Amino acid sequence: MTAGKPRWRQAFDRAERTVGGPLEGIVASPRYVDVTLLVRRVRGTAGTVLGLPMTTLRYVLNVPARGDIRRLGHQIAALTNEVHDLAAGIEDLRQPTAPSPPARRPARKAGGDA
Amino acid sequence: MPDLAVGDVIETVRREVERTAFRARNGIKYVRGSQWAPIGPTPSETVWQQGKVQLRHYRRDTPPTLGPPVLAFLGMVGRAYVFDLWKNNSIAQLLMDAGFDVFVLDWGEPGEEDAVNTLETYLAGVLPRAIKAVERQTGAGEVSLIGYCMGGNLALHALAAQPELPVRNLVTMATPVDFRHLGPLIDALANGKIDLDSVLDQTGNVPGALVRQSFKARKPTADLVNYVNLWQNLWNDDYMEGFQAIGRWLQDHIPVPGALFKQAVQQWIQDNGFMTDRLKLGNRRVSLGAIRVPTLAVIAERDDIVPEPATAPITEILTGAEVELMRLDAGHASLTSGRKAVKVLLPQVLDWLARHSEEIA
Repeated sequence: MTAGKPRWRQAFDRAERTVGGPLEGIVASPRYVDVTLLVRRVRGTAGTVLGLPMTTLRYVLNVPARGDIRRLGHQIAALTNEVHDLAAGIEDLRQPTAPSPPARRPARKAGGDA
Repeated sequence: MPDLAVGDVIETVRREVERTAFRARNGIKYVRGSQWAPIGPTPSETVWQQGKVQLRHYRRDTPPTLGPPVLAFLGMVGRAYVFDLWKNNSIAQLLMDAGFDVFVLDWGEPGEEDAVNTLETYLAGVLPRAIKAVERQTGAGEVSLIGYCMGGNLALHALAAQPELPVRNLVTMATPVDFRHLGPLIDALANGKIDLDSVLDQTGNVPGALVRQSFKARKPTADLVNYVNLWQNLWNDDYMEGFQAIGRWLQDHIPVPGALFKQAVQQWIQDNGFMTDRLKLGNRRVSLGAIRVPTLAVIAERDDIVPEPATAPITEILTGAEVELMRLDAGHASLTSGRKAVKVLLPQVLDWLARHSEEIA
C-alpha cells in the first residue's frame, strides 16, 4: 500500500526491501545460525584458554571463584523459595474458606464501547 | 505526472512548513528524552507480592459489571506493562471499560537469586497463589486468564498440571504450541546445537540483551526503518506517544531464569511437548487433554515470530475443551498495540470474553 505516502518514502521502501529482503533471508537460514554458533563457540573457548592462568592461581590460593559464590547464592535462593512455599501453606491454613461468588445473571453481549 | 492546482501546491507547502516546525520541536524533545508516554498510565496498585512477582489490580471508578475477574500475564521475556502501554492503548483499560475487574501478573526482573526458579516455581507456586489472591481481593470464585505469547504457554502448562485451578476461561494470544515452526534459532535449540549453559550469563540467567538480540536479528533493517518512520511522523504527537511506548517495550526484555529456560527448551522445544503431550511438572507427566476450560486462541495472521502453523494446532491438543480460533489481521506486536488493535482487534477478543462471562448482580 503506497497511496498517500510521499515519493521519498516510496523510494526508501523500495530500496529497503531490495536490501532488507535478502538480508532477512540470510539471517533466517540454518547456515547463518550455524556460523553464528560456531563464532560464539570459538570466542567462548578462547576466553576459557586465556582465563586458565587466573583460574589456576585462584585454585592454588584457595580463593573462592565467582562460580562458588554463585552456587551459594543459588542454594540460598532455593531455600528462600521453600520459605515462600511454607509461608503460603501457613497463609492457606489461616485463611477462612473463600466466600461464594457473587450472584450472577446470564451472559450478555460485550459492551460496544470497548 | 498528475496536474496540481496552484491552491493544492500552496496547501502542500504550508502543511510541510508547519510539520517541519513541529518536527523541530519534537526532535529537540526526543533528543532531550521527553516522555510522550509514561509507563503504565492506568492507575493500579500491587495487591499481592512474592519475591519479585507482583499482582497489580487496576483501579475502577465503578464496580465491575462482568465476572469473573480477568488475570493477564506475559511470558518471562518481556515486561508486563504491555497490558497498559499508553493512555489510548491499554488492554487493562479496555477490559475495565467492558466491565471486568482486571489484574496483571508481573513476573518481575529475575536476578541471580532467581536463576534456580523453575517452571514449578511459577506454575505450581506463584500462579495458583496469584489466582487465590485475586479471589480474596474480589470475592469471586474463579478467574479468566489471558496469556500473551509465552504467557499462553505458561497458562496451558499450569492448567494441564492443575486442571482443578479455578479458571473459567482462557485466552491465548499469539501462543505457539508447535515449536517446529519458529525458525532456525529455535530449530538449533531443538536439535541440541546450542549448549544451553553457554547461553547463560554470570547470574545463571539468559540475559535480557540476548533475548532482545534474538528478536532484532530477524529484521536487520528494522532500526533503520524505525528511524525513517520516526522522521516521517515526528511532527505528530499522537504518533510519538505510540512510537515511544511500543519502542520502549520492544527493547525492554528481561532475563529468563536459567533453570526455567533449560526446562522450557527441553519440554517445549526439544520434546515439542505441547504437540506430543509430553509435558511434565514436578516430575509428573501432565496432559493437555485434562484441560476443560473454554479457550479462545488468537492468531495474528501476519505474525513472523509466531506464525500460524505454530499456533493453530491448539485445536488438536486441547481435546477436552471447547476451543475457538480467532484469526486477526495483525503482526505479533500489532496484535496488542496501535489504533487498529484498540479499535478493531481487541474488541473482538473482549466480545468473546464477555460472551463467556456473566453479569454481576
